[in-house]
Amino acid sequence: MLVTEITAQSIDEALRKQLDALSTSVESREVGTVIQVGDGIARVDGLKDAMAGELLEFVSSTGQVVYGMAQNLEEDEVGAVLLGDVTAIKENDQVRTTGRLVEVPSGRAMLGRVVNPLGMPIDGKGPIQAEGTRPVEFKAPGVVYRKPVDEPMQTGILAVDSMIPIGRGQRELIIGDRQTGKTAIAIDAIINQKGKDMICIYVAVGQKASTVAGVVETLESYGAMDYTIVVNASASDSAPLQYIAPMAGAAIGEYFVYTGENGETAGPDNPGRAVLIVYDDLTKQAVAYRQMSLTLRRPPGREAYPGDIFYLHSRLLERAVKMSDEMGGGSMTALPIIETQAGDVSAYIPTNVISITDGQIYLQTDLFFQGQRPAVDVGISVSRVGGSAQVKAMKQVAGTLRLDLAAYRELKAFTQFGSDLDKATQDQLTRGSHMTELLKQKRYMPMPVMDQVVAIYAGGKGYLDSLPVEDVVRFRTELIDYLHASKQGIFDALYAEKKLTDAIEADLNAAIEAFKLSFAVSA
Amino acid sequence: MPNNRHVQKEKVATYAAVLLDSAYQAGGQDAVLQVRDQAERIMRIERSNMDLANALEDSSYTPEQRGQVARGVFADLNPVLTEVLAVMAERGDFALLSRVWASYQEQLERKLDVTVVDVTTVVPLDDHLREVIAKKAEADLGTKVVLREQIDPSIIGGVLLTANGQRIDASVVSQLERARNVLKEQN
Repeated sequence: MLVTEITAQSIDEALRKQLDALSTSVESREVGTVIQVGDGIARVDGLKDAMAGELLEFVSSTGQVVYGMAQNLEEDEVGAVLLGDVTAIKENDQVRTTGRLVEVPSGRAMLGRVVNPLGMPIDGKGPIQAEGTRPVEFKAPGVVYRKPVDEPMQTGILAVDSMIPIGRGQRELIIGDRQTGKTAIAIDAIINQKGKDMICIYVAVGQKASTVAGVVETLESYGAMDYTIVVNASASDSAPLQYIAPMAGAAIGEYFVYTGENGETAGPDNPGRAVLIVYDDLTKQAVAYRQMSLTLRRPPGREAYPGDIFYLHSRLLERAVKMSDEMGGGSMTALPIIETQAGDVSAYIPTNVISITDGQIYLQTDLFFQGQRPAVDVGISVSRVGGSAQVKAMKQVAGTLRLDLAAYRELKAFTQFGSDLDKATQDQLTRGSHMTELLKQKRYMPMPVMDQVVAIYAGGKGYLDSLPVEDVVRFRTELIDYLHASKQGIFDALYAEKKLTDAIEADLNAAIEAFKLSFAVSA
Repeated sequence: MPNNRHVQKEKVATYAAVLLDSAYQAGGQDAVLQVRDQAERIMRIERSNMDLANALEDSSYTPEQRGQVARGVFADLNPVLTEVLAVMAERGDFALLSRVWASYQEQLERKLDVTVVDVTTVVPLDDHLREVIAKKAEADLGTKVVLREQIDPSIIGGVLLTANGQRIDASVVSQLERARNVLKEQN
């Protein structure tokens, strides 16, 4: 049946229809010649009218086209970075300008996919039918298009959501040495966005491909890939690809911020979407940019980084935004990650990114090996803007938590000398150790915000003080299970009121006391 | 006090002027165009031949040795070009060749009012077509035009014109490429 329908005429018609968009006009383009190529960098003679950041087409002697990006516009030549098969291009090959900046495809079709920094799929699941494209380099929106952060972005991590709250549109740095759980926090935050109408983008820069495969597998197993896009420039990719990866991730995210559900530009009647983007990590991007800049013969500065390394990170992170209601109210929350060496936050890149972001979650190796996981050092971790976006109930219970823990740490250090302690000091130490224990949380087990409120409430009211410290986490888990099973009304009221009213507090106290009676303390 | 960049620029312009004026005095416009083509060829060879570039630019050789190499290697070229290349090699300026060529092109256009247009076709041009292309190019560029004809079967059909780093692409192969992209995007 199908065969009989295919006639020469129908093929002709179909082709004609598809070729309607073809322009038959003669094109005029600027051409240049590769003078030198190496280390993923090409020096090009000619191209006097090339734009900074313009996409260039390198044509190899075999006709293969490799794309590049114009970087150094000099008097007689253009320094360009190659974004594809760097070995295909040789001296004397032809280079053409395109009149376009580097762009990546974007749209809903990218959800659940793993792509390279050019937006090409690398997960073997076939081509992506993208709805549009976005420029990799994009100027962040100005003040009139923005509004202050006012909605919470829950990570599901007790220590973070209670004391270092993050709001939608915020830039919160995750910083720490290697193997301290930086990626784990970001992955937990992504997993916790399930069902919260948030689109997540995980940008992996300079990591082992096996590590990224592990992250993708974890996200898949928790059902998080449905709303997540992974942009990967692995350690084996060229420095230019690692350099553009975070910007490509931002561009893919911006599509959702600036476009409503119907595919039209976001506005008051067509809300933009909320996006969470994780840059894992910007240290490696800085190293890639340093390599690129040195091979482009740009003058080195501190630690051999180029002079514009601060601007590179500031313009990237400035793209995190909470749009005003007139602009659709979309948001892009950024969680950049920085790896420090031996806890040195005063190195060049860490200080730069700390000063750019709206706060930092500081992870300590010592805490990690003491079993305090996530190893968040709540003493020096801050969130500068997230407080205004925090849920009221959480504010009520966690208001003094940070100060209590700070006092506990101070006392603990003092009492290590082993002097006799008065009751008040002993109580404070007991409370502190129990609250510290309460903040421990396993990986990939994010807690809903009201569960966190209940847990901290129980700790803050001293219900845990009489328990052995090793029972605290079990008590927390079983208490929450018990309340969900028997006293769901308390959670319903909490979600409805968003704050702890006297009535809820009374119910909660009674429920916790009742549960505590049945709780079996370990021997 | 001129900085290094200005000195280099001046040096490049001087080499180009010497080359152009000497070639013109020796053989008129034909010699000038011959030198242009030969210099372009040398530039391409130098870029892809590291050994040659090293021999002509390496400061561990004496200026005389570098000059000797240049005179030996480029003996078959127009004598004016051979001599200028040898002087450049002696003075350690051989790396400036591509800039000298660009400056030579610019001076050729300015002093002789001539632009060289590279024309690539699949079959040789007939006189009529040659005249049409030359007239069109002269009208567009506002100078006299010299056509440099090349045959390249890979463009399938049509014509490719290149002048002053600008390429006008009316080849069949690029039209097909565009059609391929349109079909690819729609599917």
